Amino acid sequence: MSSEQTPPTPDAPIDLRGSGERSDRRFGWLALGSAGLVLLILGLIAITMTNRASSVFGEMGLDFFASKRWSPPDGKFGGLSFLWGTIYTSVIALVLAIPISLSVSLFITELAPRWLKMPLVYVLDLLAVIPSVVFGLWGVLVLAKPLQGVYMHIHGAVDGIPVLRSIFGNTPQGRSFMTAGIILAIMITPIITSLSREVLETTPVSEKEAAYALGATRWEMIRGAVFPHSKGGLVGAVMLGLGRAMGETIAAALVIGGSVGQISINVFSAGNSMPAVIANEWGEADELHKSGLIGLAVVLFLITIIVNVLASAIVRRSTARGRGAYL
Amino acid sequence: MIESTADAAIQLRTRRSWRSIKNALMTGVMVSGFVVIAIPLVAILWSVIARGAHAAFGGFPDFVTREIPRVSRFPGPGMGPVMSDNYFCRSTTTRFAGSSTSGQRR
Repeated sequence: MSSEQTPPTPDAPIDLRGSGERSDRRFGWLALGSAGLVLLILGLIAITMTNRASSVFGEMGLDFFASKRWSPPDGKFGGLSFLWGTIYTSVIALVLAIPISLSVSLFITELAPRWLKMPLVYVLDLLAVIPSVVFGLWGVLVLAKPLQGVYMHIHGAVDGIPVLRSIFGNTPQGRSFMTAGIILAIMITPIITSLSREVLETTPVSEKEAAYALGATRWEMIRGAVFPHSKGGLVGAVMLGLGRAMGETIAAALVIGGSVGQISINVFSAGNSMPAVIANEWGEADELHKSGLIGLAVVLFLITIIVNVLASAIVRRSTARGRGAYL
Repeated sequence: MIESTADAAIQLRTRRSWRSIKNALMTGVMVSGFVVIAIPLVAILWSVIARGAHAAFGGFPDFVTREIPRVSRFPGPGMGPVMSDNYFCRSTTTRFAGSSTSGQRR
């Protein structure tokens, strides 16, 4: 049996161009167009909203950011109390969520046996996909009333202590900054946990084993090897959680209490946040009032963009370091 | 002369020290973190099912197929249009976002 094959001729170059290259280029343009479209939409949203908020910015000037008087019938639109409410509830949420999220992510990465890891991740994912309106309704219907009793006890316990009696103040409300903070904490915990888990897993095994070889306990290994390696990524995860907490609308609107002009450090008092006031007042707003609400949206938009950009930069830097590239 | 070492057995068990106590405490915190996060999940699932299952499944499949009552004082069933609109909007959004994201990752 003879097999006659034509030997390759070095003079005839292989044609690498053709439809493949063209379709690659087309796909590249398509991908670039998709990415550009996202930026274009973001830019258009910013321009349109700023344009529609210009009348209230012109009317109120810096008072829009510095005054807490929000009185649509009098044409006064000071958004400071809503800015305070947004930041305060987000800070409460972070204070509650950070230790729990870090504990859970450390538990999954360092403690849990292999067979338990995946079920735990599924449970966390399940918590992440619950719609925010369900959290809000649960907060109003189930959580708010029992929490009011708990708040009363806490206030009674710290009544004589100077600073704490102001923070855990009197006349506790079931729907308050604290309840909103708790709901937001439950909502952002899966985000912080899953990002932290990704970051913690980038710690090289050799560094962990080196810590153990030096006689470190598990906790000392985590403090000495895992945390220094993952610090940037953990900060980024927390900031992404903060971005989510600040932008949350419907859950906050349902449980924050809807009090206008409230700037208080009393976590048990009712308040309001920027997304909540937009959701609650939009339906009955006239022209200037709508402009004021859009002004709040512009402020919120800027804050969340800044937080998210910072977070993404920190996470990217940390991930690159985890892979061994020093930036 | 080598003496018998039967009495001086090497202690392989770790001694109680502040380091080991701290390690045990932090391990407990990590485990309890997961318990804490499971509480709201279970509570929410329980509340939703306990309060909503009767309405959703009591007159099945009317809840998912019939019209919303025009007079709000009439009790259900009928969330069909809401559910179909919701699924339509979400699937369309996911479709757009999915194609956009896959383009970026490429």
